[in-house]
Formats: sequence, structure tokens, C-alpha cells
Amino acid sequence: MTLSDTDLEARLRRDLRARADDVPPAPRDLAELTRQRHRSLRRRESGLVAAAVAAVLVFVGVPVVASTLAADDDRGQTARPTAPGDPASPDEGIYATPTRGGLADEDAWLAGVARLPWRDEDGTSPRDPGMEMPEPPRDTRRVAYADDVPSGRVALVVGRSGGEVVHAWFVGPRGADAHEMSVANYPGMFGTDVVGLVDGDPDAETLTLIVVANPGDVVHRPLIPEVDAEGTIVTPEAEPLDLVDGIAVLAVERRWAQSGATLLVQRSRDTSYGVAMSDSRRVGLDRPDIVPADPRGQAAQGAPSAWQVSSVGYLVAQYGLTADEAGPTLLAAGPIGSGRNAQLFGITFPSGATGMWLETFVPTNPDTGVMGVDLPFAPAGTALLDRVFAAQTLGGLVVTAPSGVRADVLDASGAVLESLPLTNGAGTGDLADPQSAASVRILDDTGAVVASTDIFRVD
Amino acid sequence: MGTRDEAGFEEFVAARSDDLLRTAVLLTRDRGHAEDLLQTALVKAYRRWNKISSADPYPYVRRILVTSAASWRRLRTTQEIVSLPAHDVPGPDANDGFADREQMADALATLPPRMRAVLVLRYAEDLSEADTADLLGCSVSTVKSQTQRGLARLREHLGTPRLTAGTAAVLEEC
Repeated sequence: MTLSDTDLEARLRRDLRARADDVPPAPRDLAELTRQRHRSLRRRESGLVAAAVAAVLVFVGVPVVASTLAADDDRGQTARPTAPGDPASPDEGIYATPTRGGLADEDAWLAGVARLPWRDEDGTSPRDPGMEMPEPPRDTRRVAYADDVPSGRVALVVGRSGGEVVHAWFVGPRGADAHEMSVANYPGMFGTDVVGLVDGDPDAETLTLIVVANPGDVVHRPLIPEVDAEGTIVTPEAEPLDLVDGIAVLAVERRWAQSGATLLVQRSRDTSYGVAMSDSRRVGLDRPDIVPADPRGQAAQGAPSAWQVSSVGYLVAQYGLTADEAGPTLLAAGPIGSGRNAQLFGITFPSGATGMWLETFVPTNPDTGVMGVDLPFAPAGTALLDRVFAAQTLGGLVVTAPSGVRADVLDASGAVLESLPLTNGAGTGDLADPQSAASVRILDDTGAVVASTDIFRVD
Repeated sequence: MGTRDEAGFEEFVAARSDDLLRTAVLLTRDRGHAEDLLQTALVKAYRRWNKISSADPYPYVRRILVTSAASWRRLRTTQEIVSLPAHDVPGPDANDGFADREQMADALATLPPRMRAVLVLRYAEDLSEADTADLLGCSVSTVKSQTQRGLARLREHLGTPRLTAGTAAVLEEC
């Protein structure tokens, strides 16, 4: 049977409206934020126009100077406020702020870095071949920041592309000549005029975080959450960065950098923006693929694909843990009906508390993506494989228990609706009457009940 | 911009920004991107506020919002946020339609921006085909074809449905 067009349209209408109803209100200070952004953009544009006019006057009125500028295209590519012919005057924002950092006076070096390509030599971007990347005209580029930091020499180059300010980080060894610098990662857009780079050696546990903001900006660094013995997520207060002239260079742990944390840029009392940081290619921050342990042989029911493995790595990393520390374990896996599979896996936190995640996907059509849901954490005292848990999702059921060969699905009155086979206490299945399913009881091969639990409804 | 227009802009933002944000979330799926998109649209509208002749600026601002959403650059303004599965903690009173909505949102996210915009305008905003065409600056026939192709692609991504007694439509293998 197929879903009729009418039904599909009705579902689309219903789901869109339900999602819209869940959207929290817009920020209260939105009108003022809009004015601030408008003023900032207008001042930048005015500066560009004024500078362009000034450049024309220089060419017309002082031909000697003009020819010098034309011959030395190093000039005008860094944000030197007094440089004649600069396409942009100093104004607001990183693009218009004079070069900062210990190399700010190295004009020739800065100009050389501003000329460097933003793509690799083969024309592709560093990480995503084929992705459209901005490569701003050279006469719009300037170096916003350059210095030798603990991880080496770094430079932030900004430019204008299609009316947008874009940026790219460049890295090299300490003391590197301009031609020894290379683009650190793919270019990015400015969203909040604050950018960060994580840099360092691939085997170093302590890395360098460089943050470039506007003078006066307030930026915080969220710290990694922990899960205490009660199973409660404890999130430390975000650490305020000590920005000097809008610049911060600080040491950070590799596990923090891998946790997926974002910088928080405070724009008003009520509004903060999350800004993802770039990481240089040389730092090797890609999260390792993690294949969870499979003591129950569940992978045979639905072997984890590349994206599932990546997902486990992400979940472990967000708590600053390694696979060895968290012991990610596949608890149950298999079809749940509707052409979908489910995988239930869990980790053990250093406190002894345990966490579980449920993921569902269409194995025959992985492009539809995976839906992941955090399940309730359990306090220390019960090992992950000893937890008894049943989750209902998308009309199917996923069960994990220490042992058992069968799960009876019961309604609210205790009547058995149906049974699912289990392997070593784990199993999945499609429920005939998901609305009535209320609890499960686990039975061993003698028919004895060894465990029971209410069903946790994910959807 | 004069004082009176400033007050008008304030009133408009106070009255309609929630509506616009909802549309932005449907267009982008992500709250952070949606707020950025909304502010971009409001800045553009603010610049032309004196020239907006209509008594109700909402259609004009919504047009800016929708057309801005189609730009690839908007997707990158908050930098390289890695696209990962959405992990939400369901509460004990989790809505029964949560999974369905997530599934639909997944499917919508796979559509090209303008095709997604057509479906959002038609089915969330209840715009007619003619109004949708006017807003997007295209023909009615384009809206029709984009709607049909969008629905077909949603169906493809959602899988083949089945009907189960006592429930609404749920999904099964193609």
C-alpha cells in the first residue's frame, strides 16, 4: 500500500506546523541587534567607498606614487591604516582592523602571505574536494593577525568575496617565510567576526587555541561536561577568555578540542552565539572511528556503517573521553520494522554512571541519515551490560538485559501482546500494536522471568 | 530613517519576528542558522524601510528571508559546524509525533533550497501557488512542478508507507 498524495501532504503540513510551534520566541533585543549590524555594515561599506575614491585620486594625482604601488602589489594587501592605496580604510570589524600580532610590522612577509593561494596546488580545497570555496581577489585581502605562537607561525588572512567577508588561516613552522606558510583548513565566512584556530603537533596532548575577535568582544570557552555518579550531566561554567586587543592565545587539551565545543560570543546581555573553531590540518583533530565492542554478537544483526562509527566517536568525544575510557558497547541491534534498523549502544563514564544512545536508520537507503536519541543515563552501581531497558521507537522495540532468550511485551493490564526473541538478552522487533505496549518481561530458556521493565517511549 | 519609521520598525520586529523565525527554522532546520538568516533579512529590510510602500511589510520581509535562504553562503556563516545526527533528550512526556517530525525534517533537509522553500510556503504558510510564485519570483507552473517533485522526493526519502490499525500512517520498506 502506498501513502496517497493527500496523506503525504497532510503529514507534511502537520509536521511543518508542529515543528514551527516548537520554535522558541525570537531574541527580545532583535531590533537593536539589527540596527547594530546595519550600522557596522554601513560603516564598512562607507570605508571601502572612501578608500576606493582615495585610491583613484592617488593614481590620477600622483603618478609616481601610483606606479610604485602598481609595481609593488605587496602594498594594499595588509590592513595597514596608513598605506596609500589601501582598498579599505580602517573601520570596524576584523577586516578593517589593522594587523595584530607580533608580525604586524613585517610588511613584506604579510604581503607575501596575503598572496598565497587559498586552495591546494591541484585547485581543490584542503579537505573537501569539489566544494565551492571562496577565493577573494588579492586586492581585497589583508592579514588580520600574524604571530609566532607555541604551535608555530600562524596568520589569519581576510578578504571580500561576493560582498561577504571571508577568511582563511595559514600555518607554518615558527619563523617560517611567507612561502613556507600553507592554508590550514578550508576558508570560512564570518558570522560574528570572531574566529578561532586550534593548532599543534599531531601527537601533542596540549594544543594552541588562537582566537581573533574585535577589541572589546566578550568570548567564553565552554568546558567539557562530566557525568557524575548519579548520572547527572554537570556542565562547568564557561571560561572567559582573556582577550588583549581582541586576541587570545591559550593552551587547550586535545580532548577539549575534539569534544566539538564552540566558542561563545556574547553580543548582548541575552544573546550569545556559538562559533565553531577551525582546526589546522597538521593538528590531526579528526575524531578516530570507533567500533563499539560487541559482546553479544549484535553487529551481525546490522553491522555499523561508516557514519555510525563516526557517530560513536562523536558521542564519546563530547564528554572528553577516549574509547578506552568510555568502553563503547553495542547492546542491541536489528530491524524494527518499517524498513528501519535500530542500534542501541552505551558507554560507561569515569564516575561509573552509564549512558545509552539509540540510533535508527534505513539500511537500504543510508542517504536518509540517522536519527539519534539520548536515553536516560543510569547512576553508578549497575554495569552497562546489566542494565534492563526497553525502548519503543518508530513502531518497533529495542531490548537490552543481562540475559534472556525472550521478551514478552505486555499491555497496561499485564496481558501479553506478543513476544520477541532475544540473543544474550538483546533483541529488536516490530510491534503489532505499539500503542498498547507498556512493559516487557525477560524470560530465560526455562521460561522463568529474570527481569522486567517499563517501556521507554522515544516517539 | 526618521523617528516614526524607527518606531514602525520596532513594532514590526516585535510583532512579526517570531513568525519570521519559525519560517527561518523550517527553511534551515537549524536554530542558529535561522537566527542569522532572520537578522540578515531584517538588516536588508531596515535599509529599505522608508521605501517599503505596502502597509504591511511582512510579505516583503518574508520574501527577503526566503530568497536569502537559497544562498549557499548562508549555510556557512556560522562556520563549519559539522553535520551530525541530532541528539535530543526526550522528556517523559515526549510528543508521539517527535520521530515523525524528525523523519520529515531529515527528508526536507535533503531537498534543494528553493524546492524546500516551495514546500514550506505552500504547506506551512498556506500560500497559494500564485502567491508562492510571486514571492519566489517564478511562474506558477514552476511552483507546481517544484511541489510535485518535492513531494516525490519526500516520498522517496520517507520510504513506502503502510497503514496499521489504530495508528496514523507509518512507514515500511519500499
